[in-house]
Amino acid sequence: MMQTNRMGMMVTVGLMIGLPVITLVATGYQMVGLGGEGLIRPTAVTPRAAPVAAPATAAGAAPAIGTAPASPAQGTSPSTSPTATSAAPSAVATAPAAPATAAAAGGTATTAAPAAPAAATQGTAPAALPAPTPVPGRSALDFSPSRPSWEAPLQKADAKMGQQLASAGRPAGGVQACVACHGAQGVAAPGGIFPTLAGLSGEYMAKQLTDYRSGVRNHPLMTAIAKGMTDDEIGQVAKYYASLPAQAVAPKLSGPESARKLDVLGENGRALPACANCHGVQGQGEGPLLPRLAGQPKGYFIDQMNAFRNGQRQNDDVGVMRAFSQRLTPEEIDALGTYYEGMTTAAK
Amino acid sequence: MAKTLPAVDVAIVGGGWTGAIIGKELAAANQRVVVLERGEARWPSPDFQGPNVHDELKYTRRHALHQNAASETYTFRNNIDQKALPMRRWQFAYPGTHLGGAGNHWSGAYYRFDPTDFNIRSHYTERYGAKIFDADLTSQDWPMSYDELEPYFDRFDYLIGASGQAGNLKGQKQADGNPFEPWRSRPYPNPPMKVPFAPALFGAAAKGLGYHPYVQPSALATRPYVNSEGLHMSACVYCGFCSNFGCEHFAKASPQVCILPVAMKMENFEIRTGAHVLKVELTEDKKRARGVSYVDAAGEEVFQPAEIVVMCAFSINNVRLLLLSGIGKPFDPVTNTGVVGRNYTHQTTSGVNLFFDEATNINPFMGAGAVAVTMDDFSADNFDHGPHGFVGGGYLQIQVVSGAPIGYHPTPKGTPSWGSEWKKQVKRYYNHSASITITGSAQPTRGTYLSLDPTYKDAWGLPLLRITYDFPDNDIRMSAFLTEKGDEIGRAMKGVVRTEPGPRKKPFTATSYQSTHLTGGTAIGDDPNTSVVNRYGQVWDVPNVFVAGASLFPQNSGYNPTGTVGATAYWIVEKIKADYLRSPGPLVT
Repeated sequence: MMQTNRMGMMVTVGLMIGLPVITLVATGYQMVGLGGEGLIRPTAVTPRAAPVAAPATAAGAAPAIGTAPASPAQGTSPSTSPTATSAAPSAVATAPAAPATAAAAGGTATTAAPAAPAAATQGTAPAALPAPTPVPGRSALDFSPSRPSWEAPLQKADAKMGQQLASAGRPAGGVQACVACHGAQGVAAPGGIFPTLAGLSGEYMAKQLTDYRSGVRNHPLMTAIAKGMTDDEIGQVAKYYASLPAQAVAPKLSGPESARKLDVLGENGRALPACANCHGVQGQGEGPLLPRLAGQPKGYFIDQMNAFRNGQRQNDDVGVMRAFSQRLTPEEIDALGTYYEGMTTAAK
Repeated sequence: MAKTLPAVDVAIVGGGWTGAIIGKELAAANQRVVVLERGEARWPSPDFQGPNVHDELKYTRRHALHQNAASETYTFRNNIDQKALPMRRWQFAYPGTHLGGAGNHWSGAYYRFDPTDFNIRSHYTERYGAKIFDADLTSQDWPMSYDELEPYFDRFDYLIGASGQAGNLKGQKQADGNPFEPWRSRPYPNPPMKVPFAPALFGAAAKGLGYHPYVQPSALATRPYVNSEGLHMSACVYCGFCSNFGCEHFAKASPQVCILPVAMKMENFEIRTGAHVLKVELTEDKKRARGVSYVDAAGEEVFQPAEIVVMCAFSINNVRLLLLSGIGKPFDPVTNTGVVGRNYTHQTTSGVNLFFDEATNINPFMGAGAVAVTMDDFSADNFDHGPHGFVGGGYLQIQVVSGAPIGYHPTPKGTPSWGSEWKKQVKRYYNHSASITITGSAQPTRGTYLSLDPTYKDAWGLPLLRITYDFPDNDIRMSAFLTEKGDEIGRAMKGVVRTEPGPRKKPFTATSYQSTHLTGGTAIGDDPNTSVVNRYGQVWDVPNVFVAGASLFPQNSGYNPTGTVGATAYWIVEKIKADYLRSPGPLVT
């Protein structure tokens, strides 16, 4: 009926088909997959990757989740303020008497009922995950607004200068040309381990470069490059890549079924929200800081999930990705990599 | 003829917080437990996943997670001289239904009651003299103290992954927390929430006036958390869809996130959804419950025999079920006798609408159900009541929930409610407006009570619950005082060009939302003449029936109820486990 604007129509039709399909699938899942009385039973939890808290608690490192300053209990534990933390150990030692003790005192994760997911997931735990750096929590009395350090340079940056730096680098400062790995138009070669930058927001890229520099995100190449860059250069490069056109998203929902389910529905049994809740419908990204996943090379995707899993990458705000990635199996991560890579028309 | 099912040890009416806690604990104590939930099963995945869950029309306007007012509602009147009429749609409160109940669609504002809430009559009498209580107030002490409940508050904190910063650890004041906080044995399991702009402005102004603002504790996890049941929660993303919604992020604490997945792995724990309980069946001498009758999802009437019945329905629905079942003596305001339905209260809320200059961008869509800067300077007995002549208090705060497109159109007073002028004002103020909300305590009187309606019936032919309520003068004076304080802060806030204080006025109207904190009606107490249940939630007259939830409150605190609801549920079930199971019978004689 309406064929004038093809691109726009494709997206619109995609949404027209996609959203009802998601609804239908959700309804079907509810009606058929868990039908009848079984409706209210939780999805079975099979042994999978280690829960975030398991290694820490197993090691006896955390008296109570999130209360000790160095506590890796959550894998992410922003420590509460020094005041709160100093009081923690004694508070724990005399935690509420009798009836409450079983669940309340000591390592909370492992005192769970035998059937609890956390306890059931020890089996295939990856070897001891290193404790991520705690993210500082804000005090209850601190209402001051805070702006990220990369914001101002990004706002005043000149994309043209970013383009120059991207194509030529600044060898004297150890800054290699971005195009070498990320492609001439910000689209990385398929099958590689380098991310596609076209389609990512300037804010996201500026934050990532800043995070490489500070060490909360790590990569042998990128850490060195970012350390050679000034605040202004970070803003410029980020602004340039943000200006490049993103690859079109194919209006399809193909790929491994397990990945599609995780993307649109998540999983109740492991408390996994749908990836799309934050990363947008069909992995298109959402807001300034939630990156697009559609079209990212599978090798890059898997590397990042592993980096979250083992704590090499700790720049996910309060640790949500570190927690989710540890509740996914390697097979699921692989399937998600295939699924998102296949979402653009460019990729195969 | 009702079908009779095989007997169980414990029948629990309602699948919300109290039903989940008590059911899971008793199942873990080897009881065969059946939870009867009138609504349908609802799980974060797939039911609450985005983008579909962000549907204001479905969840807020059409009440998808609230009791169906077409089949069961309440009637309302202000006093016994009026004829009560039924509410056709929810305005004054949002009673929950479906799995998780109100514990699923709540906002997550998370407080403990103040120690003086538990001994209000004796505390105020001691400090100010008996005259501080107006003659019509029937406020009464709880049978247990804050100190006795503290371990159970603590336990609920770690179940729900509460976020906040301790202000008082075991009596030691903490520099970075709320100086008025009651003592707590452990820090909050998670740090405080991030603060949007309007609450930050409120905090700065309140601090400047010498008050003690702090970030409101919440039941929205602020980082990944493994709770005391070993279940995972994720971090809140401040999407703003909390109140009236289910949480897609496993971040807002609810029975289905924090406890039911563990309970449901137990062989001897079962939830039946679509099970609408009609009444508790008693033996002929009315001294013992035989079980409960309900209508199942197929419309068939079923009798479920049980050794113990625990009433865990939405607060005032507990009261209705006791009345329908003939348990306890109904309260009669004329003769001032009877107990069931006595001391019903709501929450004395008010607010100050603030309008800002156009340089101050509030971004009202950046928020969460429980993200607020709040202050307790005028809560409980934290200030001298002597000069003011009322009991109780409340907190003042700015909480930014969401600038929901259907519901949020702030305009100054005098703006027409439609047309081009209305549109102009909405455009001007949508991003330049906020409200100070004031949540105050509510004292009961002889004339505020719950009873069965003599005229109107529900879809099953049973009398509706009738609410008879108006504000006592005490609460009107309190609201005027608190709202004036709110206005003072509002006027001191940066960028504010206009304030509109709205203190609560008589008569109470059932057509404006005033929180879902409906409390009382099955008061907990030490005296069978003024309470329905003893200090362990056990019905005085029928010892194998227990009641849990906000219907236990003899009057309402200025703080939100869920913390105290959770703590009392643990308190009750631990007593059942420790003593009642071993020797069933009255726990207090």
